[in-house]
Amino acid sequence: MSEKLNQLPTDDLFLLDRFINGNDDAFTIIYNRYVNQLMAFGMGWGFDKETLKDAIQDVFYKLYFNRKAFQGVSNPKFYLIRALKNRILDIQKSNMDTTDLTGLEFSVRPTVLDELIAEEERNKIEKQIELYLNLLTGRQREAVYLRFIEEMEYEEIAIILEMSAPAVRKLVCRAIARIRTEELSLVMLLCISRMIN
Amino acid sequence: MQISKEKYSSYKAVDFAKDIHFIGWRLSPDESNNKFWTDFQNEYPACKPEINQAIRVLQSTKLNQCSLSLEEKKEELTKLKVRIRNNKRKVILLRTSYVAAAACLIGALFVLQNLFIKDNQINDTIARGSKVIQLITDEKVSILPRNARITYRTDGSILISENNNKSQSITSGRKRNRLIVPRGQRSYLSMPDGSKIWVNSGTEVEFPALMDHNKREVNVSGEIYLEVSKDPKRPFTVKGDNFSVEVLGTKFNISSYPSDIVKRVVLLEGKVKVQSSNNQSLILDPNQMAAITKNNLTVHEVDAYNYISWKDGVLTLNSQPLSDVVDYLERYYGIEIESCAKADRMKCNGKLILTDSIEDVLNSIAMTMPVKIVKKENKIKICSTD
Repeated sequence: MSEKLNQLPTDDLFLLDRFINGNDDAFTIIYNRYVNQLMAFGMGWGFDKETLKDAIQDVFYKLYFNRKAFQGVSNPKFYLIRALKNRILDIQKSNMDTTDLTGLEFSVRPTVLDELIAEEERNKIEKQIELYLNLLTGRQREAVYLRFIEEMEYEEIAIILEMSAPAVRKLVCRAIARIRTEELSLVMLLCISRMIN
Repeated sequence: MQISKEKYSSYKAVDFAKDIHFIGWRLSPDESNNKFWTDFQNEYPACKPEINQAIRVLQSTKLNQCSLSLEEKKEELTKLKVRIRNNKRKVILLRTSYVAAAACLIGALFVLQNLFIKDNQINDTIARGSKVIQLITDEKVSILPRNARITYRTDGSILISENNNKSQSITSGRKRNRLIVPRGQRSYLSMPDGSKIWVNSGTEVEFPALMDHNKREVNVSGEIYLEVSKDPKRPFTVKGDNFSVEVLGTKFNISSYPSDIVKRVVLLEGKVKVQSSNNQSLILDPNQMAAITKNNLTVHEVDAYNYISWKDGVLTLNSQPLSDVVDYLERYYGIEIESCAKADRMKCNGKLILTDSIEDVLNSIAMTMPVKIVKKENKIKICSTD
């Protein structure tokens, strides 16, 4: 959950530029920079680590021979996440007999890394974050994840979710609204459970 | 949100991090929760440190944590590179079998091409491959001394001066003049209306031979810094690759190199209007930067001087990776520098003085960072010593 930094896009774009012009070091840097974010996104789809490693390899392998695909791309992360999602859907299709993908749902599992906090407290924080995100549908969760964790634009998320940008905006707004109404009942629940205890 | 702020007044960082509303604000900020938490912090300023700490806790929280260790990354990359190399071999094998057929075709095309693009091509190679500053007035090409300063006079004549004050005068063209500054050199242009233009290396500037009475127009490919004199009757327009900037009187920098995906306009003083070729537009305030890509026009808050300091021969760095600095030096000095991946990732901070000698600049990098400079057969390489 990184704060939206006031970071310049130049760093990424210089890198892309070098990569498109045939610089292999730039390719390595791009790989190292994004592989963990891609792993995290892939985990959301319930795949194991080894499958994901291979899927990400496929994405970068394809990219290497198709550098031109990066021409005009302003956000490499968006391109990579979209490519990974397509690859994951392909794997899923070939694993299943039918092409029914409705069973595939994006999930989120938080891990608090701050070592200064006692483990017990860390677990509690993780539970609360999970509780919060589980109030959403799978699609809403994916949209919120891409929007607020990966800091993507609505237009970019729209392409990944295969829907229009205004529809994504609505989806995210609805998610926030839903959380808000649930919040109230949640607060009540918490109060009641405290009274009982 | 109808939650009382009071109950939060005694919260510690961990309590905030556990609070569902607080989590909601960090995970899905919107107007209403932003307002709630800003108001709260204003009413209970004593809570600010706890809140900041809670924000840090949540920031350090990973969703679907699954990071590869350095070893795993290395291993994956090696596998990937082997796969790539194997594929390349395949491609080469395939290619050789096509070579014979292709050779005939290329021969034929070459003859055709020579028939068509003779004139243009010659002109262009003179302009772009050159190592000297050129001023093209109509069809006439003048070769200018190193880092020449150019003064445009109101009568249309042009004064060229060198560092040591030697100067010569030439006549301006009738239509438009073109100034081409190669990689490794810089120039300075003073216009008849009092406007000043600093021209960075690898840049081409085109401007009218005589200033119109109702407009001022300059085209640029590369990087320039402008101090435009105020003249409300004659708006000043600068056109880049896929955008234009309209000004009245102001100081700003334009970077529009053809090889860069992002073109940048950074404003130091005054106000400018940036318009992209796909008809997006915005107004910049001082210390803002417009980043222009093929499909996008965005604003960023910056320290403008960092983008302008090149005109004073200084490169200001704030945690840029060394790879960016290397790119910059390559363009500025017109040389090629190789750098290893590890050095590429190092962050640079501080001021780098761009003296006349690239050796001095590289030495000062080697002195302040864990890298060494290796020179071999005219090639410069920066390697990490860590």
